[in-house]
Amino acid sequence: MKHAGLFLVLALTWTVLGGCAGTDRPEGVVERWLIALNQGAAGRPGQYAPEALSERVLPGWASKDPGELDVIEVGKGSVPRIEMAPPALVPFRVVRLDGTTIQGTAALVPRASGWQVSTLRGRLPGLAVPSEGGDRIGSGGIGLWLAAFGAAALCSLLAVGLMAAFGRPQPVTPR
Amino acid sequence: MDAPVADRATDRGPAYRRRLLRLLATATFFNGYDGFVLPFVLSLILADLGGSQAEAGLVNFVALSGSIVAFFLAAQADRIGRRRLLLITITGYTLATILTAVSVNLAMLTVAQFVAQVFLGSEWAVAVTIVVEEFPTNDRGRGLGILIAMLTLGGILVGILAFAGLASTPLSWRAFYLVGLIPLAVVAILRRRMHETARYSAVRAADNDGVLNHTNLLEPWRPQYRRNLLAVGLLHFFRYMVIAAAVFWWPYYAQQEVGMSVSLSGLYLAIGGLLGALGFVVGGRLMDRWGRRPSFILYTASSGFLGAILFQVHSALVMLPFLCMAIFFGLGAGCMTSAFATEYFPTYVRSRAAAWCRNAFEIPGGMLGPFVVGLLGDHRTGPIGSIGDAMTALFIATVVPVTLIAVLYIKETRGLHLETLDEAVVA
Repeated sequence: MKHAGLFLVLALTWTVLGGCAGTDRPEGVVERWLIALNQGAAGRPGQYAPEALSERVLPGWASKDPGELDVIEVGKGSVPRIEMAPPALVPFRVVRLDGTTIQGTAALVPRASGWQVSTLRGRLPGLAVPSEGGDRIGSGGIGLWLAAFGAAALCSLLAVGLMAAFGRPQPVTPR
Repeated sequence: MDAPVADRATDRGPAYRRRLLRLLATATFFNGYDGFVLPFVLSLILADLGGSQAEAGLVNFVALSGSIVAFFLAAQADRIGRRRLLLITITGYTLATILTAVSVNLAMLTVAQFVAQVFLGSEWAVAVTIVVEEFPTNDRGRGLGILIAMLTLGGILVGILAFAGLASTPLSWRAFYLVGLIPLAVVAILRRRMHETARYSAVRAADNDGVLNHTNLLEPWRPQYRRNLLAVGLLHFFRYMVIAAAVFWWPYYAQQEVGMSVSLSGLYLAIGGLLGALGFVVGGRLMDRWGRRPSFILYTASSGFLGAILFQVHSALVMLPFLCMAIFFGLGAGCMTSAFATEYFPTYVRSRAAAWCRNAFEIPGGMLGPFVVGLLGDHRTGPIGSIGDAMTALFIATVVPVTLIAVLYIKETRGLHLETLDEAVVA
């Protein structure tokens, strides 16, 4: 019982620390930028990209209702080592409610606060969104599935341990 | 199985039960409706009242925490009676909904939604208790199935009204909340045509000496009940952890990782929701025919398998059948867990036990699940970087313990006469 509790605390700590680890994917920044743009007046796309780029994707976004972009899709990009300086390139696709499709590549540069969209380019070879055969932003792999089964075993042990700690069934129980 | 004398004596007849179910179903329908409105219109609210995405998350979190506070109100049904609490909760959430509709800023709206969730969470618990206590043993599953289906159908109404253009009216998002006034009419009818449940009245009358404790919130943790309470509570926690995460993250997964449009994912969700409601009704029938435990194990195993696959499907065409079946089994198991949370416990403590299961186990699970998936699957900072993979991992991690708990610790209650539990504690 004591051990089950300890395992659970360790697992939760691992999860939280893992979530807080220093991962910063440029693909996530592009996605947040487009989602913020899609919030209309409530959005703050300026955190991720200059105003001029936001206007290119959704002209007059600040005065629009939320939901003007019907599709927002971001694919796995090409991320360089930061010290090598070239921008990260991330493929994206948006479809406005009027049916206009914008497909291209966002170039991002590292800033003190994280990645920032600096320019927009056309489609580049080798970079595509998942619906067009490109790779997904992230993927767990075999390690994730093993961890999931490990977590299942841990949760099962915890449940069994707790039930054992609460003793045998008492008289007033259904058959 | 012959009903004991007490069972026949407390039976008010099928006509009364039909009327009662109609009233409870209407109240629960709007419970489901109100529960779905906020996530649906949140972006419109932010645009109107001002606010960032971070503030939107805070509004949602504060509002949801009202469901935990609902524990204290829901538990009062053992003290003041089921009927009276039901009237209080319906009136309360209707008034809180009106307050939401006239909110002038985000703070007022947050408080109003917090209060609404307190009453909504309690209404649900007491409505389930009433069905369990007023329906005969062989018809309880059907009653629960219909009642719980109303939660989903109420949510679908939000989508239908949005599709019909309610958001484009001059009242915008406020119009959605004004629709929530309808339950006041239900209260007017309930006051005259609904009685206190016969079982509650009978137990109150039998407990002349005041032996039974109708007020202590910890009464369900007495040695007689605590093992069942813990088993059912853990079942609720793990099951709802993954269900809430799937409901919360599926639209995001479909739109951001599969590339579906907002309108197509909305259409899929509406179709899946309608089939999901059918899952409740079929589940209710199966509970009465096969028993609660085998039906639950079937539903849980199926939903785990289908849910894990659903979040690995990257084709919009293949997605629909998996979505429909996952919703059918995933949500449909709700009527079985509702039966576990109530049928295990004698009448004098039933509402408090149900409140523990729902508000102290299920709701925290429902808050933790989406949080963990968001943390692991965040496209920018998550260690997995994929919501689909994080969801599949959560399905694996939770379905195994839920099935194990059901196999090892959950006893069958089909055909159980609640009076036998009451007689045991009053004697």
